[in-house]
Amino acid sequence: MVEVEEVSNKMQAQMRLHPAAAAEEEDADLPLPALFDKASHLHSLASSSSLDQEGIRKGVDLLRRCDEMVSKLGLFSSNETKDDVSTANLKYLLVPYYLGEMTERVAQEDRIPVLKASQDHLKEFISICEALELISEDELELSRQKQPDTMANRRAQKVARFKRQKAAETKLLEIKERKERRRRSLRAAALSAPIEAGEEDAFEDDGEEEREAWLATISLALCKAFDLLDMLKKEEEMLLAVKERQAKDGNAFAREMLDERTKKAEAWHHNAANRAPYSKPADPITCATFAQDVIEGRASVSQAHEHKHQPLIFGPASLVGGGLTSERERMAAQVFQPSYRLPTMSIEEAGLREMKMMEKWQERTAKMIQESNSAWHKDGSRSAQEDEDAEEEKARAWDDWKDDNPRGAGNKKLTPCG
Amino acid sequence: MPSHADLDRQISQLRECKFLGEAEVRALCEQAKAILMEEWNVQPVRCPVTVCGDIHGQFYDLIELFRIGGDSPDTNYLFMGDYVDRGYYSVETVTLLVALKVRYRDRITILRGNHESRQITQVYGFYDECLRKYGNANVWKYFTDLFDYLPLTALVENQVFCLHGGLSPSLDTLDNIRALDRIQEVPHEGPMCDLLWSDPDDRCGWGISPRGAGYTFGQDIAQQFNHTNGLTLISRAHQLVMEGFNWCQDKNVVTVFSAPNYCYRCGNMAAILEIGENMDQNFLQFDPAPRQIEPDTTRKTPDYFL
Repeated sequence: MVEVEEVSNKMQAQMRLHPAAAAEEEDADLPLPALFDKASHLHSLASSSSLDQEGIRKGVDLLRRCDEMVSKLGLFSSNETKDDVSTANLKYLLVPYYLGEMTERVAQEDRIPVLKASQDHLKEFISICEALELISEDELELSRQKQPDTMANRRAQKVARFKRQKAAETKLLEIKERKERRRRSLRAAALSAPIEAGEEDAFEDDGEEEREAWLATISLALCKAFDLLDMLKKEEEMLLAVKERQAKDGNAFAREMLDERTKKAEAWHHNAANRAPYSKPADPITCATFAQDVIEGRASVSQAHEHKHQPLIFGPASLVGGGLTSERERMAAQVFQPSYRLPTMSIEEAGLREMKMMEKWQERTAKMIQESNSAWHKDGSRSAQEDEDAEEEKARAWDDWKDDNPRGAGNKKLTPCG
Repeated sequence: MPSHADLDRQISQLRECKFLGEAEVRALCEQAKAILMEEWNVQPVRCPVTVCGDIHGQFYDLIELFRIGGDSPDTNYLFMGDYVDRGYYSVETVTLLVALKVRYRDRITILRGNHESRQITQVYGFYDECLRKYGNANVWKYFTDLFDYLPLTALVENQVFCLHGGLSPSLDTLDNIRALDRIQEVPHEGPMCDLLWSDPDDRCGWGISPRGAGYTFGQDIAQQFNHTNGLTLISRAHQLVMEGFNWCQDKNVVTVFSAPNYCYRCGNMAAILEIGENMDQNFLQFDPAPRQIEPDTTRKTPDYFL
């Protein structure tokens, strides 16, 4: 935490050094509402990404001052609920959220401190909202319930959050439309006959409505904050991993990785082929060469092992080079596969399979011949004479067939020898 | 047109189990195509000739075969297909045989086996090997295009009929075979497919092949075929036999298998059939090459490693 503070102090210092700092001095004495208006205007510009880095840095600075004022004024306290916060003050809850979002947009060489600072602001926002009971029950449940971090859970969480976000957005839109409609009718009424009492009514409505609108805005901000927090966490993890690897390997990182991969692949093929001559059945040793190798001391009997192909993992250098530590990395590596099918068994396994096929075939025919012979013998009614007759009949049929089909008749179109 | 000197250099390079460059393979396949195009579906062959069965990329065993049977072109050879897939050196093996064919077209005959096909080589190893050794599939394409031109069968002195697989119920005569349009990928079924896929069986008549392509044929079928076409013997390969050769169907059919210790695992012997000047038949058996030299590790790394 100390480190983070240092970093954000440094960032603040950097921002103050910025040329825009001169202009900021003019805003020094602005009261909180004006300051917030200015800052939230910059924030909305930043959200539509029509703000340059200068503007973003200014926005961050303004929001930081808002934040300071809010905490100095003690607007929110952890032993209150949302009902204790006045409508006028509700919007200041958004300060840390805006700060988190804006900070994330700051462009800087080293992104990790930015990510850390931004996450801290978002967490601050979420924890205040939690204290004020502004966070919906199921979102809290999801984050509290130490559910296994499965795909299904993550998806359910995402869907629920999206639904809440949608609801908040529609509500805001609704309120805006209602306001617009009323303003138009008010203006029309004011033009025809100004009525004092009506105005008062409308004002009251407006207060309730404004509260509703800010609550919806906060709920929307919460959805976005949770999403952004998730994203930033992942980004930080990724950057830290890269940094760690770079620190380990230095500049020759990419080249080395490629070489290593090439070597790995080579070794794989090499070993597979190399082991092959020795990978023959150990018992009995039917292969002359293996026996010869054993006798002449080039191989030992124990080398007659099964030759299995180890799985070879393909993928981008950055993933394959380092150990595949996380599930995410392993899955990414699996995405990048060669365009053609990889062998599912070794050559030796295929050979054995073919041999088994041959053996089965031979066994089957042998069995069939045996069966037909035994049936022949069991059939006691057949005498030797009958056997001879059958044999003779067969020979006669063959002779007849030969008469009809003269020898060599099918090979008339003789072609010259090469 | 490269000179004989070029070809001779390529052949001696290949004999050391060093594969040719992509451009050289391409030129070689073009020349071989021109030669094979002129050959017949039933290619006539004179004796003496040595008939060989499956090689399956076992390069050093092919070198051993030449050592046992006599070197090409001093000995005439007839190979009955299946040069690629399974073994570690399909590229070197098939390139050497094709180079020998281009250099000594009358001294060596190479037939088509069921593995000389695009579909089969994609599954059983030749395609992968080309990618591994060249980094792309061009060489695989050159060779599989060439395979379409290989003759299907050969006939030694009008007596011994040689082919990879076996007979087909839709081909009773050699004249039927001569009428086939062979220059195409091996079809999934039909006469051309049967010639490359069928097996002899101890049962009579035609049977369904457990391989899923071709048929099994009984002794009666082989006998009739030999009579009708004036043959003394059908010599074929396609099946692993432990002794390297196997007589069957009352010596109407013989199986020759020339890949010793098939797949570096099966422990079988290999054999070749020498047919002498007087049509005398002699089998030569041999074991795997004594020392399998380690594969060349300077091969190119395919693109997907980058």
